[in-house]
Amino acid sequence: MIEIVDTGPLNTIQDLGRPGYRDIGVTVSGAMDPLALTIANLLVGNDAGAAAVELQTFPVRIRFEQNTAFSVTGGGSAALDGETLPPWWMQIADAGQILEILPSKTSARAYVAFEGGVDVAPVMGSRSTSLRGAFGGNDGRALRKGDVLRLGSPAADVLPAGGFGVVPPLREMASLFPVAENGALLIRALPAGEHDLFGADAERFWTEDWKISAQSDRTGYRLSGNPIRLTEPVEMRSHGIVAGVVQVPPGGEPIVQMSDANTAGGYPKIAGIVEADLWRLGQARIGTRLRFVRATHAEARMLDQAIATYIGDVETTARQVGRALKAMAGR
Amino acid sequence: MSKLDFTDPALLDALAAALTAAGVDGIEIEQSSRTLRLVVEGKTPRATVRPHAGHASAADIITAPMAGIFDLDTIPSELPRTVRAGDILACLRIGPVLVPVRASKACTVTRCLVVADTLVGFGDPLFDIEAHP
Repeated sequence: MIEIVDTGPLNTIQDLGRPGYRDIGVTVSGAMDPLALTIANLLVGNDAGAAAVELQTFPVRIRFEQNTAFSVTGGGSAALDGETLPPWWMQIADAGQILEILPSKTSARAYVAFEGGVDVAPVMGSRSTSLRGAFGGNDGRALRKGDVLRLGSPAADVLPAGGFGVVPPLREMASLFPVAENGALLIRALPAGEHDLFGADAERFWTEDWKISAQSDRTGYRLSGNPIRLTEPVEMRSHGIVAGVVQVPPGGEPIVQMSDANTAGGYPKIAGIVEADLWRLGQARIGTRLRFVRATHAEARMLDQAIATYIGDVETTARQVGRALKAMAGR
Repeated sequence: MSKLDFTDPALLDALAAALTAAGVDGIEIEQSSRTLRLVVEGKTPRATVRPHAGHASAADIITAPMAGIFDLDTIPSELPRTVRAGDILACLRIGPVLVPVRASKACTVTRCLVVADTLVGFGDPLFDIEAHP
């Protein structure tokens, strides 16, 4: 078990979400940075989709009730009983030790996974918290000071006592995730259904910088910048939408649907962000400048494959290294 | 080729087990800086490591816990640096995985012996240290 000694608001239990229920109005939810959640789980020997804790407000302090392997990935600066841990790292805590996580200067969200995963009841196949629906996770709500969370049974006993980590994805795959010369985050997207209805303004969508406004959360990011407008008003029926869809409301400033995306909406869609870039957006802080880059389906598939290769390498190598270190320690 | 750390009990255990399995009573291994003499008699093997004149003893170096690419990017590495036992000094990179190189005792790390991003083997000396009393 672990105890939440201290937490900011809106920190929740998340896994990879509950797809398949949008037709009955149930949002997918799940980690805003599924890559960081996946790696956090693999580092402690869990399945990639085990439930972990997503932190977006800090500081957070967690006390371990017994010896527990944990990992911290994504943003956040972690220390165990005051000893700073490297980023993207797995360590074994002793009973009574306290893990403190402070905010990172560059990334918005940290993920803390525990061996065995956070053991809350699954709802519609997922342990993710749906804050808007008030179900899933820990009683459908954000974590509070004093919460005690049960952990599942560890899956594998190959975790080295001295801990280990991984090269963060932005370092390992730096060439695949460039930033603009002015520091703007480059987010690849494909033109969506109503793109051409924006006429000349559609071009400005791709060439001008946008800023993530303060009206942004797990449901969606509202962007601020020079408004773009339809060449003429259109009446549209509501249609199904997913995370990554970029809609443009009448005000002209785009909305990017994120993990707690609405299941349907009637604003015109100008673009869809490629899935391989969504995790970077999930780590973008309020105030971040970004620019959309027109991508191709082939490019999106190539990025998906590169990420899958990285995850596969981490899974295989972490297991091998864990076994080797454990064998050497036990001789 | 990597240099073995003859102060590593795990290594000595493994060597002793191999000698016993082969029916050999003892072995002497000579490196440029030291000589190991391992004798298997009864239940407890006896090992002695003798540093050669003019060389640092194994106690004054931190060695690689396994083979990998020497990584100085993950941990700040300004030297000299005073550390406690267990502090991480650097990492070894195996594919995307980072294995920590930890200080075996409280010490001052005085010199890094390996260029960043080069391949090192198990037991290779990585840092010169001055142990704290």
